[in-house]
Amino acid sequence: MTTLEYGHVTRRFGNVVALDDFSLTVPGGKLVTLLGPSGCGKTTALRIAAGFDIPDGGRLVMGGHVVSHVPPRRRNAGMVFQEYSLFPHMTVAENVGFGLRIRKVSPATRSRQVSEMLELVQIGHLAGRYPHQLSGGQQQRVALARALVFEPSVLLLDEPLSALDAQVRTEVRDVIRGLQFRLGTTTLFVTHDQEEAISVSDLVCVMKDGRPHQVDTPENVYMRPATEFVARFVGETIEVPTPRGRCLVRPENLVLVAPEEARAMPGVTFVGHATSVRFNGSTCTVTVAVPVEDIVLNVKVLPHQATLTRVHDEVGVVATSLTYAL
Amino acid sequence: MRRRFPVWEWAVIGLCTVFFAAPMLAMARFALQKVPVALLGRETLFSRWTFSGFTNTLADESFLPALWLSTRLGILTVAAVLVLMVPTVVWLNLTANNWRPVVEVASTLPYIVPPIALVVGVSALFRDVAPWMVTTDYGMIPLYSMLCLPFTFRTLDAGARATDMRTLTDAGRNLGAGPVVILMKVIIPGMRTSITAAAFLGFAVVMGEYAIASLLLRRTLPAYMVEAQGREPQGSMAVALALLVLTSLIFILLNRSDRTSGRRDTIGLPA
Repeated sequence: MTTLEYGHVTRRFGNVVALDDFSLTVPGGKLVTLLGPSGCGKTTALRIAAGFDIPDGGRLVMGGHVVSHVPPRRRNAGMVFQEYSLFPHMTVAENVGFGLRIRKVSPATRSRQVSEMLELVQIGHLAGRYPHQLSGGQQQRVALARALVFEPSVLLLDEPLSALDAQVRTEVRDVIRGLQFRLGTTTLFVTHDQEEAISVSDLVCVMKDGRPHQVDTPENVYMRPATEFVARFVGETIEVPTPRGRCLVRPENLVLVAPEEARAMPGVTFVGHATSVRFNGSTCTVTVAVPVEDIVLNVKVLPHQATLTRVHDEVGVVATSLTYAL
Repeated sequence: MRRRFPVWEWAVIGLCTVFFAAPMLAMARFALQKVPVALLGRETLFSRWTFSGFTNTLADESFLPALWLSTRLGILTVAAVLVLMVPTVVWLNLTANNWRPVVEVASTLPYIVPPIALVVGVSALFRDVAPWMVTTDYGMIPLYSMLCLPFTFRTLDAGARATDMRTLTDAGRNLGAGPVVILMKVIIPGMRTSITAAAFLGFAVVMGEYAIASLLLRRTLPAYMVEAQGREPQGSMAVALALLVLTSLIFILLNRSDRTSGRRDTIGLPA
């Protein structure tokens, strides 16, 4: 399995530094996500891996070979684009078979491989359709099949789910993860959606200003953020005062208790008044104003717990764990 | 809510139809009715319709050579323009967007430079360097190519912009294709509609061009028709009408074939 390594890669566009001494290793067979806000350099990193962009400094190593200046067509990297980028004049089968045709695979083998891959992404029945006759989710499945059919060393995914609606996004996300796991292709996934990153990745690289802030498992990135930026960017946080200074805490780590209980408990506790109770579907958010500390806490509770709380009630809040100490 | 009858929209469509259809109907009556022009009125609407003017012109021994010359020039001009302009448009859309204003201005030159200036200029410049430009029929191809530029460049550019050429090229490169394969298998098929439309427009320009052919003393179809107007005005008009109908039919067929070929339209033609 191919390992992909960025070694001190720098890329500038005029005065803007898109990648600043960027180093990252994508272990063979793993799915690593580049997560960060717009302009953090994640797409530039991906384009450098694909060969569409050349780094100003540093090197890119793919499978033990330095490929920084190797043209895209010689890298054997499959890529899925945000805008699908299917060839509009070709059918689904022709689109998927394009990479094999370039590699001069015989028509019989090509046809078999295309059929197998289309079955894997569950759109075998659409082989004869044109891209404009497909939905967004189907088009992205075709793009995924096209990127994987020639057995690339590395799979590059450039925000492949961002153009899809919520339900289809989850379906395609599961297809991507399932296929990656099954085929064991080293994968670099770019997204600005933290939930997406956390749910599909083996490792998440949280980026800001062209540098990685933390490269870790999704659990660690969420529960043990390395920097304040990571804590605030990945998931919701509330800043609260504690005996040891101010800390960031996740809403799900706040628990509603009776006010007397909160006063009696050691640790980080607050007493305030409920100002609103909002139903979100599977959870409810109880907003608690704590006048002494001058803070507002959004506490996530289950709907049946929320029915016990009314606006203006005095409530206690306990922080069961702190996410990041400022 | 029920939408009210779109009076204004239909009024505009009606006016445009009358504006274009009335001269053609008049043309058809003049060309195909053996009735003196002064007597062409409502009472003679159904009298003495005949194709004799048309058949007389077709039988004229000068007609077919003129038609053949214009057809050859049309095909070769279209080929030259496409060979020149397709790579230019691809280049502009992929890497040289800052050159677009220059190409746009260059493509409007035929509007600015009158045919007489073009012919005199080319004759003076190339008479010694490349005499074939002045002495042979094919010398008109570069001039006709210039004349086609305003139409072909804009049509091709619209087609190129309608396809996401940058990402499609990236996709092709990523799948292992080189520049030539990408151009031939990805970009050109993606621009098929606009290339067909540009070819058709270019051909139509050549088939209707009179000024340059006349100045260079070439007997193309338009030059023949102007000359024949003196001898056989009705026949000449009938041929012009036939060409007009033929052109319209080709245009409709092109549009229909694109609509039924199972792909999205890539230029501004209604599909």
